[in-house]
Amino acid sequence: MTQTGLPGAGAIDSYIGRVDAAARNLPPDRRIELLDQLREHLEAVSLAPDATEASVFAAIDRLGDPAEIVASEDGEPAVLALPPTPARSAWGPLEIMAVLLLIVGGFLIPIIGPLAGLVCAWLSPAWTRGEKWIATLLGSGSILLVIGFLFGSIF
Amino acid sequence: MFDLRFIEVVLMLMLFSGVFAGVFLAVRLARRSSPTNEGN
Repeated sequence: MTQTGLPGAGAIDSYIGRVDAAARNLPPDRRIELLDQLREHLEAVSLAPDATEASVFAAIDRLGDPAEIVASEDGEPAVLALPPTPARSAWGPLEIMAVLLLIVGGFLIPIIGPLAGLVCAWLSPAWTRGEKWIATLLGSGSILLVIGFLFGSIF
Repeated sequence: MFDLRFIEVVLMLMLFSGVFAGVFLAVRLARRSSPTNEGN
C-alpha cells in the first residue's frame, strides 16, 4: 500500500487495484512484476518535491487504461515502457531540518534538538515507516538505557 | 541527586544517538535519491 500522506496516495492504490484486477490472467510472477513497476513509478512521481494530486493523476492518465496495459503485457516480455520519471530530489526542507536537528541539534539544544529532528522525520513522507522506527530507536536508545539504569538503581 | 560524571555520560550518549539516527536517515535518503537509485 502507498504511504498515506503522499499526494495522490489513494489514487495510486485505486489504480494499482484496477490493474491487479485486470491482470488476474497473467502468470503470478509477471503480475507482481508489473504491479511493482507501476507502483514504483507512481510513487516516484508522488515523492517529487513539487508533486500534487494533479501531477499524480496526470501520471496515471499517461499510463493509460489498466486493460490496455495488461493486454500489452500479455505474451510480451515483462518490460513495461513507462514514461520517464521527472528528475527529483528527495531533500525537501523537512528532510534537511530532520537530519540537521538530529546530527547537530543535540549540541545546540540537548534533548529538545534531536527530539524535534525525530518529529520532522516522522512528518516527512521521504522515509519509510521502518526507517523512521530505526531512527527513533537509534535516537532514543540512550534514553532507554538511562531509564533502564535508573530503574535498576532504584529497585 | 546525580553526580556530574553521570550527567555528562547521559548527555554524551544522547548526542551520539541523535548523530547516529541523523546519519542513518541521511544515508538512506541520499542513496534513494541518487541517479542509480541503488538504495531502493
